[in-house]
Amino acid sequence: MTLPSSNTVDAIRTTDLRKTFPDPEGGRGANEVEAVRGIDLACHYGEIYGLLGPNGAGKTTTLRMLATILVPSSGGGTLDGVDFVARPLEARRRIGFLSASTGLYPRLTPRETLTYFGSLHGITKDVLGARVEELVGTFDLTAFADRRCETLSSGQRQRTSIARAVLHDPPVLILDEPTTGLDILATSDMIDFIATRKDEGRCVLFSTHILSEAERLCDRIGVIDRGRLLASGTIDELREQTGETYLDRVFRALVADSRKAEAPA
Amino acid sequence: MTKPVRKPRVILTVFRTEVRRLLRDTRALFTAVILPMLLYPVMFLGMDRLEEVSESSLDGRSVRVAYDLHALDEELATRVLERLEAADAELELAALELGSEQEAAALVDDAFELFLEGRAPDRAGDLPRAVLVFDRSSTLSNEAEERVGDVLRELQDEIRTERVVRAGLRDPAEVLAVERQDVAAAEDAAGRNLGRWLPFLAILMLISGGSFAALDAFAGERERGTLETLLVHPTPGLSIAIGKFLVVLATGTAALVGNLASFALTLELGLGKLAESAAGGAPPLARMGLAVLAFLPTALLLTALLCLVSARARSFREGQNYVMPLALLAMGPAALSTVDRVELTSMLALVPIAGPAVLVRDVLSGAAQLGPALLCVLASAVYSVVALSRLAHTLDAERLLSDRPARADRGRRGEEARRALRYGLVAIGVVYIVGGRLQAWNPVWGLVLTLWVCVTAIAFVYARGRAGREDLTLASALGLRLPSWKLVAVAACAAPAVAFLNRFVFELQERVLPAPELALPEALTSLSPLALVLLVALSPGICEELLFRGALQNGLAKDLPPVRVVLWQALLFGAVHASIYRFVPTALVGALLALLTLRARSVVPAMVLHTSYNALLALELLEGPGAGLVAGFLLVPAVFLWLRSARP
Repeated sequence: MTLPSSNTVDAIRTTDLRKTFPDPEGGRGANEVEAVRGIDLACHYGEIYGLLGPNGAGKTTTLRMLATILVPSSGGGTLDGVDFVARPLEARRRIGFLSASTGLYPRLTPRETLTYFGSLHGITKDVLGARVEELVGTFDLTAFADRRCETLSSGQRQRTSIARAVLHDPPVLILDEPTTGLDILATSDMIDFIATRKDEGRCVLFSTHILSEAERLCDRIGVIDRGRLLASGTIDELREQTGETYLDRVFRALVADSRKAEAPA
Repeated sequence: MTKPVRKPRVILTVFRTEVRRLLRDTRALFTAVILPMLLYPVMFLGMDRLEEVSESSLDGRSVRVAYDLHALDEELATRVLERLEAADAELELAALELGSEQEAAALVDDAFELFLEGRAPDRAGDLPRAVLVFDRSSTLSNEAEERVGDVLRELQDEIRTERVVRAGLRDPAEVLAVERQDVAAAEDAAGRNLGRWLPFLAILMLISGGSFAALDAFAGERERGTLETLLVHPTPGLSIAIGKFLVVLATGTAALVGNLASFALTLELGLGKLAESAAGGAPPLARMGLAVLAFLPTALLLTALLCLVSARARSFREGQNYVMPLALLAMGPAALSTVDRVELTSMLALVPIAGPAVLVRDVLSGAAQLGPALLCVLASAVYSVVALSRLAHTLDAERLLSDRPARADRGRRGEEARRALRYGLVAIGVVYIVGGRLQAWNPVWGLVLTLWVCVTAIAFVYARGRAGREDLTLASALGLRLPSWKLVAVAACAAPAVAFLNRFVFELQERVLPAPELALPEALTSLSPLALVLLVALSPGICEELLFRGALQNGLAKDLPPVRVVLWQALLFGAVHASIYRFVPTALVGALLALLTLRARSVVPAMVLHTSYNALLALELLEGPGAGLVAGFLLVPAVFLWLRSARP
């Protein structure tokens, strides 16, 4: 992976990104749900960007669109310079995605998991074995690399998932609530992992509703509610914008203002 | 480090990994594949043994029989009694004299298994009677009836023969001595026997064996939360789905082959009564190969259906609820191969699963006919391609991951659909009352006025109202859009097949509700063929379609899911034809036309199909039925074009 040296270059850029889910009961248009309503986002290489929002705000839908799992209803953007709507397969080569669940097969071992997903990424056979061993060493999986995932602790499963996400050495990492359900040690490992990826010059975009985590890790924060990006900037910029000191107050002020503006007169 | 992934490599990778995961689930593997292989022979042996035990336990038991033969003539009564006493059957006899039938019934309930009463003839010339009073709900009483009945039948035969010989005559009831000589070669007979039950078992094993693999591979992805992980890799969803499909097919086939081997071993060892009935050889290997080829598209179809059904489920447990109805739906038609009198007609050849099941039986017995066999394989291949083409949707993240929002605005929802239904009911009333009177006055002009004035006016009034409410053009509210040429071709090709299908439905309905002979009114038969087609084909094709599939369907589809739109269309269209005998066939045509319109998002293909269908029926009433096989073959390009047409 070759990364741009400047952290002002866009690794992720979206323009008016929207997602409307069809009416689950099948009628045409009467009961559609607009989950994401025009998000413009720019994240740079060597930056950690936190997407902060309450449950149901549209964080996961936004990340799934960026990961090309869901297709935007309109709008689009680029990932590492690749149009992720027009060329989703190409965009997937450039991202490492970690869902809210660990997403591991219980009856495969960590080593088999890495080999399987490495093959699906098109990593050539001659390279794959060495890469898997390298990741087993880096993420300290050696002790349980040949045990089935169903027998692993939550921390061990999370380390395996992280190794799976960076298997193909992606310049962009998209993490959906990566610390949910983890114990203190595993959470600490995850925070270290995210910080290290930033130091390597990668772009890390992650969603969370844990304010302390966002405050500690993020270079910039985007506050999202009801499918709209309400504000985006450094924590100091957001404090200045709202006139509040603590991040939870900043968050509440932004959400309250937005909801008041949307409420019918 | 990475390079574009080739599809075969993805399929192979997915296949290998899925197989590895399945093989590690030893408990499920044992239950789904190994256990049935052991269970079938054990089951057959067990059933035989159980039957033997229960029979032998009855053989050893004596039954108590009371008799009162005083009303018979003395010689006959003596012979009956002698035979009963001499019979091998264990009978405990006791002479009784009863006053009434009630007493006899009470006696059979309490102290005896059977009461045998001799009765004198009621009138001169009648025969004396032996009445066997027994209790059908009791096993022993049934046994007593069988034993005493056998003794009396033997005695009757003996007396008849004595009398005939004494008179120097032949039995006047004997007209013709019937003998049967089966000229079927042993291999044909064996093929027929095998073919009767093989398709049924093959389907059962394919589904039961493949279901755990399908549920694990598709429903399991959602349950484990691995779906997103899988879909974020640069591999096309279809390749992944095909890899999983192949695993399901391999598992189902392994279960099938294993179970057939287990059956073959059961037969070879001569275990159970099945072995006795199957004795006499096996069909030639070449026929077995042909049967496998004939069944292959159905195996692909069933496996694809299994995958599709499993992918609908959110969890393994929910999937199990879906697999059972699928198995029952598949085994029902397959059971047709066990019915000797069913032959593979061109209509049956088009019916999925049932046609191939009968074809396999015919191939194994060497009795398959080339035309229907080809049609059957071709149709099955088309159905399996249809199912396989849907596989890509099994991993459709839009469907699988979209959050299902709660239904809001419930009060206003469905308003347009309700309005469309009210107009539909008004149309039915107008056609019954006004149209009926008009056609009673003059069949030709009455029909013209009903269609071109009444029906069309309702269509325009509703469509105009809706266009105003929703800011649509009138043409759009009537569904008048330029359709895809492929769907117009589908409509043109499908008309003979729909007519043929409906004839089949009429035949089925005849068994339940025999309809009076359908004939055109005399005023219509005197018209020229062109005028007839204009009147009974083109006019309904335009006017009825403008109302039902045009205006009303667009209103219904605004609020209702497609399945309910099709059901309402079937009901309205069946009802407007005002005949209980024609309700089911016209409802079926209404549903097909609704489906076509939903797919085309235009009413024009439905107009083409309706017109050509009616024209065909009218001409058949004048000229006699056409060739069914041709209609069947026309359905194949129709399905093909349907598949190739763009989805709305």
